[in-house]
Amino acid sequence: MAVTVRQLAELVQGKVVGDGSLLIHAARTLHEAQPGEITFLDQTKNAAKLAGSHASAAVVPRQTVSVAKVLIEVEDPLFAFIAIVKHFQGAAPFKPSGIDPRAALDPSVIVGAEPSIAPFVTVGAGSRLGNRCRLEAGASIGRNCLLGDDVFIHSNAVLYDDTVLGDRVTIHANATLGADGFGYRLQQGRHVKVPQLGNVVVGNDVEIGAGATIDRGTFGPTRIGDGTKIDNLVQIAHNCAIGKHNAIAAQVGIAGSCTTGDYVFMGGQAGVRDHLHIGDRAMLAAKSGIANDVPAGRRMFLSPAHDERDAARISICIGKLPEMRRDLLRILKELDLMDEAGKDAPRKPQAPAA
Amino acid sequence: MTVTVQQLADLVQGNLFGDRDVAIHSACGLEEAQVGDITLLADPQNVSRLQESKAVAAVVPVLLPTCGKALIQVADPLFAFAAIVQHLRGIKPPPPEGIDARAVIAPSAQVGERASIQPFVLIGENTVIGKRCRLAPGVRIGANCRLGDDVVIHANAVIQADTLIGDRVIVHANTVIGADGFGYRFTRGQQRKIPQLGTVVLGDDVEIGAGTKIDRGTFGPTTIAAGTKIGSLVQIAHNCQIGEHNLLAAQVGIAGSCATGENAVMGGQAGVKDHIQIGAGAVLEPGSGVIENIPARSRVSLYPSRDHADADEIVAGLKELPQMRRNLRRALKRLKGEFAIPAEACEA
Repeated sequence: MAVTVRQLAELVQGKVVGDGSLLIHAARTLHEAQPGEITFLDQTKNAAKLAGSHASAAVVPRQTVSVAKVLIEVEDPLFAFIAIVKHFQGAAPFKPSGIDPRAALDPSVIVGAEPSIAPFVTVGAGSRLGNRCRLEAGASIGRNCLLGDDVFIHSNAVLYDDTVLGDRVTIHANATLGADGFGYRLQQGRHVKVPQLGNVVVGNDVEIGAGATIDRGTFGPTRIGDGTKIDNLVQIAHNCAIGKHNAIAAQVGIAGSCTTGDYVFMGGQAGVRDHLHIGDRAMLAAKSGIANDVPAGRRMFLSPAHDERDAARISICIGKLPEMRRDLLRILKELDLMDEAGKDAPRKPQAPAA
Repeated sequence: MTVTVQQLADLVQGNLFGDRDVAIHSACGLEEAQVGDITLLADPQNVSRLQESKAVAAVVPVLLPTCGKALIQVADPLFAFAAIVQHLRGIKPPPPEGIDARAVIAPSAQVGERASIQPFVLIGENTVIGKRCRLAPGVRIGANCRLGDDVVIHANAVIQADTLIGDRVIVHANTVIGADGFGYRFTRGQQRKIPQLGTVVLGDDVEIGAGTKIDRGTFGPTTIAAGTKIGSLVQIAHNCQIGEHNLLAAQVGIAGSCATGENAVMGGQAGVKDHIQIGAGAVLEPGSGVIENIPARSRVSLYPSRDHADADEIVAGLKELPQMRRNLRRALKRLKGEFAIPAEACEA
């Protein structure tokens, strides 16, 4: 399949700069693209990288200068490029497949219009599925669940009883929503289970990554706010209330009864202790360990976490520890205390062989 | 369902203070409770939150200023409130007993009486399932497994061949018990797989969270002893011997051949290096990284882990490092003038 740059520009409503009749065969990234192919540049400041690409054409932000390539100028190069890639892939638009006879839906289940329910899906008594829901093979929906419209649940994901999902929610494979929270009480040397009687309530436009687990509340709901995106293998414990439009990267762990504001960002493997509040637009760096409330807008680094300024200074000083140690030894030497100090001083590290 | 607060007090055998005829419609947490609801105050220190709550009644541990609410005082408010919640919301019917026609059971497998085997469950050859077990949709049990009585396995969990499971064990959704341990031998430029020929043994009353993985031993068993509770997304590597009544919170990772004593506790995201011994009653604070053996009844934190009693001072010291550095330079300058003595002279 070959199309002209002009045709692609029409597809994405962009402006052609250069020869619009150039034929394009494929769309690939800067490094991968070959002559006869189109690529994209997300930000004007990376224009130098474009010059190094073999691509013949590129989708670029407005006012990008390139002499060697035909350009399509658009407002949003990333999404324009996605449209072009999809055009080349030529995938047929998704058609609802109906309910496979090998799926096990309780007779009481209410299914909305145009469903796509794959083999070996189970849906328990009293559950309701919205319009255009898509349940992939092996997905398991418990009893009394409520799913909005355009919900997409991938293979083997599990929703326990009473889970509520808004519209346009995507749950990736093997994610688990609504398993019992980790609540026990020590009685006579044994951990006695505290019944977990709440549920999980997920807002609209939420995406939950593969293998992520969101536990049900003890008495009330564990909540995920509208627009929040949760990555793979994230654990959100019971009674948490996650705000709107948060972005939570892979392997983050949030302990019980935490709350977050809106637009919070958490980097991969960050951990948050129980009963904390993370304010609006706070940023928790990858691997940071949060042991106290974080005010709105604050950026936290390291474990235990410090704010941006302190963390930068601490990181520099950790690098300076050898120098600080030498300084201390010099001071001790000046004060004629070197003999005592010398006993404890660790050996000089071996110099690497030349 | 509407009941009077007197009826609820009778249900939990509590002492009632205030208006015994108050009508209760539902039971909710402090913040979510509305007029007509009963709520829970587990910790008397939060009495101000109870006063702000819209609830008309509360289950409390000690007698408090009533603030116009009916109070049910009991020794154990948490479990009393749980009983009230279950009473008001109605106990869910258990899943149907019997074997669903869409389950696939090997001819040599045995299923105990009153078990509930739901659609798309697979049970392998020679496996024995105890009485009243509940296997949710999509659960896979391999060959030669043995499950005790009253075991509950949630949807899509996978129990690999040869696993032994005690009585009253709960395994949550998407958990994998008995996958191959991570064992390779680097030979001739390649990582060659070491066959993982062992098993996993779970004692009585063990609970295992969603998405957790417990790998099979290399030759013998990986063991989780009786009464131990494990959170979600935990990884326990091959040949570990986890003691009785441990608590391992979410995202803990324990490398191969570790052993823990009884009543050990690990906070979320704690990590343990391979071949480590954790003593009885030891506590690993959340996020701690253990690279040496931990004595019984000690409490450690940070990475690399150290005595938790020192942690506050270490963390405070970290924050003061920039000031310490300035102080050192100042002291050195005052004593001798900067760089008077070459650094090497001090390291002899």
